[in-house]
Amino acid sequence: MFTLTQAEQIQDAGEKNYLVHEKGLWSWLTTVDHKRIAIMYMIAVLTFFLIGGIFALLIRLELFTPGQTIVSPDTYNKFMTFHGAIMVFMVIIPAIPAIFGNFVLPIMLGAKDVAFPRLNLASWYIFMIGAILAASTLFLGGVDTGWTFYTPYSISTSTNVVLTVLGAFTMGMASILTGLNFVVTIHKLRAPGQTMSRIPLFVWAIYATSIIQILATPVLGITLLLIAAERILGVGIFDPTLGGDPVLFQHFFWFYSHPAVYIMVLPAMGIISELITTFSRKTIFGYTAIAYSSFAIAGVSFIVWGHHMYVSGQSEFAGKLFSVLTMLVGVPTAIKLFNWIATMYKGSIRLDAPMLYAIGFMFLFTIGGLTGIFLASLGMDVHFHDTYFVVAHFHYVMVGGTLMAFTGGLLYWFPKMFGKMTSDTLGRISWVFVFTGFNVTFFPQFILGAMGMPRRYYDYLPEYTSLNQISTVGSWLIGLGFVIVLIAIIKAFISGEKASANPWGGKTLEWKTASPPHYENFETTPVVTEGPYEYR
Amino acid sequence: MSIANIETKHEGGHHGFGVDEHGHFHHAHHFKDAHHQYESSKQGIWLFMVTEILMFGGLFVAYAIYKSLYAPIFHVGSSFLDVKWGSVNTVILITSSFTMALGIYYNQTNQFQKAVVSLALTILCALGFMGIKYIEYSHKIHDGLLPGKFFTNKEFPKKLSEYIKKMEPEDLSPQMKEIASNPKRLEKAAPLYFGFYFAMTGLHGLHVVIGACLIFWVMVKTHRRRFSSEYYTPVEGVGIFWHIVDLIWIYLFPLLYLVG
Amino acid sequence: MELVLNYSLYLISLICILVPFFGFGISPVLVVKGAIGIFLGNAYSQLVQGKILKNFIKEKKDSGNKTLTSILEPIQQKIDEIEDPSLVKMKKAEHDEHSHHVIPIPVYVGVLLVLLVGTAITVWVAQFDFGTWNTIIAMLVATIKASFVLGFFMHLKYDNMMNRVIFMSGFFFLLLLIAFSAADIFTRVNLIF
Repeated sequence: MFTLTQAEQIQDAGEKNYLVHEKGLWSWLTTVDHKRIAIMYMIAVLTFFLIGGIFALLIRLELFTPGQTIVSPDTYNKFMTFHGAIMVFMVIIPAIPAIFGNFVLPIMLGAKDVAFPRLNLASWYIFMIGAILAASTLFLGGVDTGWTFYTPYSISTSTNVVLTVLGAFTMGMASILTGLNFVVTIHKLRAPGQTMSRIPLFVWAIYATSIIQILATPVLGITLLLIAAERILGVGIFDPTLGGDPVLFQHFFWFYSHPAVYIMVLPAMGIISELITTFSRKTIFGYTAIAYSSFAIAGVSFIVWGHHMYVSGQSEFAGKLFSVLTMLVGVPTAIKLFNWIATMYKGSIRLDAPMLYAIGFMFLFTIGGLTGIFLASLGMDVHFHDTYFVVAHFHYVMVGGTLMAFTGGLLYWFPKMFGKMTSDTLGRISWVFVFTGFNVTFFPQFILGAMGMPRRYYDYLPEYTSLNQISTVGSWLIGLGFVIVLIAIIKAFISGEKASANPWGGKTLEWKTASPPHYENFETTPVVTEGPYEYR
Repeated sequence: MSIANIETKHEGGHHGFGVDEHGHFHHAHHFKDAHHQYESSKQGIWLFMVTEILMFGGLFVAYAIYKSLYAPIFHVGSSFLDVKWGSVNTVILITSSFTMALGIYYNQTNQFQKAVVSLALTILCALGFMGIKYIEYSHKIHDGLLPGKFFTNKEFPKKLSEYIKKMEPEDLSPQMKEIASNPKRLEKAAPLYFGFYFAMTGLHGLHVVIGACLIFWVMVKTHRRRFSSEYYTPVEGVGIFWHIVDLIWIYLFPLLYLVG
Repeated sequence: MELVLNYSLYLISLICILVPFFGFGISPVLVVKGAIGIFLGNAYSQLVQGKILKNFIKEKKDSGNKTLTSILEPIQQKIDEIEDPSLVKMKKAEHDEHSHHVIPIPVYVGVLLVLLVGTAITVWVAQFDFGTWNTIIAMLVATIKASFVLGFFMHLKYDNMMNRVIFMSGFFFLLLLIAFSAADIFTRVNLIF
């Protein structure tokens, strides 16, 4: 695939690797190297994940018994808002694109950097400013509207909504700029010979994600600004006493937020495509179908948002319309899943930790996706809306889905990023805790939802107690699992075995560079002569 | 076709962001050549413009929906706007688009002094626009025609109820009928128009100010001869932004001032 | 296999885009015509741009099938001309540097005049009451003015196709927002007693 000899291409980058090429904190804060920016995003996102995770544990602790367990109802509302807002805006949306997209995408394309490196750095700063704005409300009394800021409560509540929405607006800007950068990089910076049908599937996934980011996020932007305007000026667009329509707020909000969940999941699916093919040592089955299905999912995601609003006062016609359309999104998703399975069939499978996470994804995302179809159905959603069934559904797809893919990607690309191998044993142990803990936490919630327990409630009927307690114990297991991941990473930094350029035997371009890579990615620009998964 | 030598002979520092003292442009390293960089930058700028369209577009969508639901409120509301000032502002912005295009043209053809003059004229137009906005806004504030809780104008609810009485019942939407049936609700809903007016013109005005600052920045750089026919991408980018601002006003003006 | 997937994805996206319009009563005949049109367009692009036709002709030529080749080759040539008139120009342009298209000042002045005239028309028409036509005329004139600004001041007329596609996609998605929101708001059944 490469025009240089084996010996030349897998040299250690030595002094020129991106981690040591320039030294000192200032060189990091003013870097335009996409790899360093990716590491900076990683530190930020993992910190926010820790904070959001602590809120999750606090929520589950409070729900251990009916009535008051550890905090008051108002505080509980703030906890659940923070858990949601932090996890959505500060962890899951940026995680895979900003970390792995930034690090791996240019290398996979054979480019030296993204199209606009300075803009990339600016995006990071904008993201951090937005995060600080939003997180500052932690110390100013918090927000209790739920991460969806539904009107009219978000207009009349006395908590710090304006600061939070401004923070979310700013983070949205960072998201747009990152997406923009990636689209131009994919269009313009591919190496010679790297046609669109030879780019890895992770790149296709990021491409579709970036398009969603560019098209959907501005509408969230204006919606958040309008909430601020309503609170400050009383503009009246969403306030029914002033002639406004709260359901219009929901239309605007979900026009972004539904495609946003695909921003969360498409890159994850891209990672799974990479993991499955590398750890089955087999060419991906149905490359074109998987590539196009990313776009199909992105496209369909824009016309289904009303399924969040079946019982909010939307008209019956619109409800039926959205219900039919939502069912369609299962088709391209299923295409991907079956293609992955077909890839594994007769492959030479190695169950290393990243592969375990990938297989875990396939299983858990399927459950999440199928329960999504339950919720898409108008009739069933009337019963399930705002119950724990919905909570379980989106945690299955976001945690069982995206977070597992993220961890799998982390363990997969860790040797490339830092030049050290993580302990595979620790990785597998962490998977056992995460996978088991996850199911123990969230499967009971499907049952709770079907039994009628409402979500975002501080209190519940006594008959729900035992399932809630099981769920809380599960949350401790997940927490433990991620702590083990953290331990594995720290251990790798301290005493990890030195990684070769290609420890997993991957075929995409990032495995042709040293681990860690040269600061300009390649010593000489590669010329691509075949597809990305040619295992023969 | 590999680029063998990554280390180049000139300084790393400012490649890709300006013309040097000898008038030569060195493209940024991760691009093949200057044209590659130009095309990529243009694509990035257009992608950003899409986000601007969608952001303002959200406001237009909300406006369109409420206008068809509450037509009388919007009709009476727009009668309080001064078409004269709106038209003058439209002419000013269109002229500024022209001078901006000239600014780019003169950079493309290495006539830097004329470029600086054109860009300065554009900024002047922007200031003129904001000046007229100030006049309009101060009239509104004086007359109490403000959004939501700050609305104190007494004439508006009167005009509104008179207008509704003159309308045929089937021309009113069910939502309008419901509000009109209760005089207190009608009074509270009246400022909805001005909510939109201030939100839309306010956001637009903010973009005019931002645009003026950006034009000032490229004007200074043009004056310092940092651009040439080989490299004028920032001027073109700022120009595209400025034309989008003009585009939005081209739609805003008739919607708010003329067809209420 | 790929063709099957291709066509099924087209069908799905066609349904997705057209379903809201179904709700507003657009005739199924139109939909069918649209669908046939899209399939034909897709088949054309697959045959032509996918070089299937070219390869087929080559195969036939190599195997010595004179009649088929003599019929199909001129068709292929015609298609080549339509598809890629710049092929000839590209050979020449290889020697030039990539020169950026500069629009002459008189064109800019012309556009300015068009825009000013357009504004005058909009204000003048607004004096008369044509009911809903007022809005339609105003939006039409605004769109014409906008296309002049986009085409000339913003250079889109002389720019590559990608930038135009990028920009228009923004409007398309805005259309989705308003179509579906309107589909909700204007079909609400209001029970007022």
